[in-house]
Amino acid sequence: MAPERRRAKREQYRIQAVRDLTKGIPREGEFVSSLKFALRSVLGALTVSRGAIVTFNEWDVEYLVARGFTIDEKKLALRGHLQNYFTGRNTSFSLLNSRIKADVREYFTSLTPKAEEVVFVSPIKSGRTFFGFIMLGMKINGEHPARRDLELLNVMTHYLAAEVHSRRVIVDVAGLNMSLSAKVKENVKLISSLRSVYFQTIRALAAAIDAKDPYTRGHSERVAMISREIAKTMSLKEDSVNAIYMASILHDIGKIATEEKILAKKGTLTGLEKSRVKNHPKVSYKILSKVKFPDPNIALFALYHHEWVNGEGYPYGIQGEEIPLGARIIALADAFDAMVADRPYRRGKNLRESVKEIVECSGTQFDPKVTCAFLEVLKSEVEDGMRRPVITPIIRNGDVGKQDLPYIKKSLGRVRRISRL
Amino acid sequence: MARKLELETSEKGDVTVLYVNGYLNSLVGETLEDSVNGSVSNGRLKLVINFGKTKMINSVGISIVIGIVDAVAEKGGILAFTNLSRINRELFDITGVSDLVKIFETEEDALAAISAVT
Repeated sequence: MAPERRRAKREQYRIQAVRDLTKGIPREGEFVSSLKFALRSVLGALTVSRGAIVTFNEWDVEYLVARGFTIDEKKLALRGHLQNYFTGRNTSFSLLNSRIKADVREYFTSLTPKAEEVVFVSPIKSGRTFFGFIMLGMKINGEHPARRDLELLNVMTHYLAAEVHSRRVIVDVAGLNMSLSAKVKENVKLISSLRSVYFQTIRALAAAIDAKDPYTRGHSERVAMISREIAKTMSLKEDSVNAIYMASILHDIGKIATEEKILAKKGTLTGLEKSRVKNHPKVSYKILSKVKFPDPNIALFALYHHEWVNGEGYPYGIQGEEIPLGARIIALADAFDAMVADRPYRRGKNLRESVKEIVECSGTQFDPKVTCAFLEVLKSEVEDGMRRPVITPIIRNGDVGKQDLPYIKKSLGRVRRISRL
Repeated sequence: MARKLELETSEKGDVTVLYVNGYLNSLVGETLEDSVNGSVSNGRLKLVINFGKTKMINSVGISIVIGIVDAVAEKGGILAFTNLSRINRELFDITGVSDLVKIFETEEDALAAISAVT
């Protein structure tokens, strides 16, 4: 298998593993089965043969599920400084990392008969509340944990934490013998919090992509927020807005298959490098179309996010309404975020410069209707200081304020005229 | 999705052949690991797993497969996989499982190779 294809396939497997976990857990009845399922799914995702999940109640062991590890349960209880350590630690780590404190290492070494069996540790937490941890042995290929392994482990642990948390709430609610209506209310809250966990899972995956490209840290997240506001302004249904949001978060996932040295390159790209970069929407599509998302359009939005309405975009050169609306929205949000960002070789554009470029490219690169919605969002942000502005905070150069209103309004007028043509 | 999984076992000389029929994507798959453990504990250390009728393997299934590889290796046994579909073969390649197990096209090839080992 070619390395690029192999990387894309591996990434697809990892996303699928996260989905196995999020879909598989609720189907298992007993909570212990949920933990066993989660452990299996994590072991499979990271290709590790041995591992365990431990949950605690007031620092004493509540549940222990293990696979391949023989764990001395008496030694599990967390005392003193280890309690402090886990209260402060939110992300997974490798015990092979020499910076890990000696007492933490000793604790994990003492748990299994063979020393140094535990390699990965991931604290299960919700905020500062500690529920337990996942511990895993060495990867089957003998490789040390890579950054990407730890990121995937964080994502999966994060989801498990929400499960443990919601189960605790259910147990507590049942114990309180509250009125039925109060329980129903609680359930509604839980469901919506789980839904947001699903988004968070997806966000964490996207953050990992952005991290690969040093110039675009946080890019997917910003594009997603802008796209969501545009979609809302265009009065799309909530399901469509959610699909566009998720697609924008994942639109660049195909870059996982692009070599890091190309993404980080400062000078101009060679023809071959350019074609590699231009291939990323197709790779994004390949990866996302295999994941059964609630909305099947998500993969298509990612595929077409570099298409232009005049047909001069890539990878297919389709035009106008052939391009799904979601993709047209993401295209603008994506380009805007890139325009205002500082790069080592140029300063990011200020408000006027970026608005000017977007308006000039409307009708060729961007859908004028989408540009109108974008300018409406920008206008309301500047005009009445919207509660959570998404566009203005990312303009790094120059002050943005009421003084820009006339220019935004004038631009809006120009684009309205283009869109009527 | 705990869909159906049926295991069949067949003893061919000193080799135990296991047929994984159905879905290897839930905790039900642990029965496969149990039968492998049962075999190796009884001293039957040569195993062939035939995936010809395996419909789907996910991350949970991969964990089970890795568990089997580990268990057989620990007892000093010999393990071979056969009749993998293109998709499952690819899955074993990208997860690195292929590097740990001998993989043969057909059960006959595997039996011939394994029986020869003393």
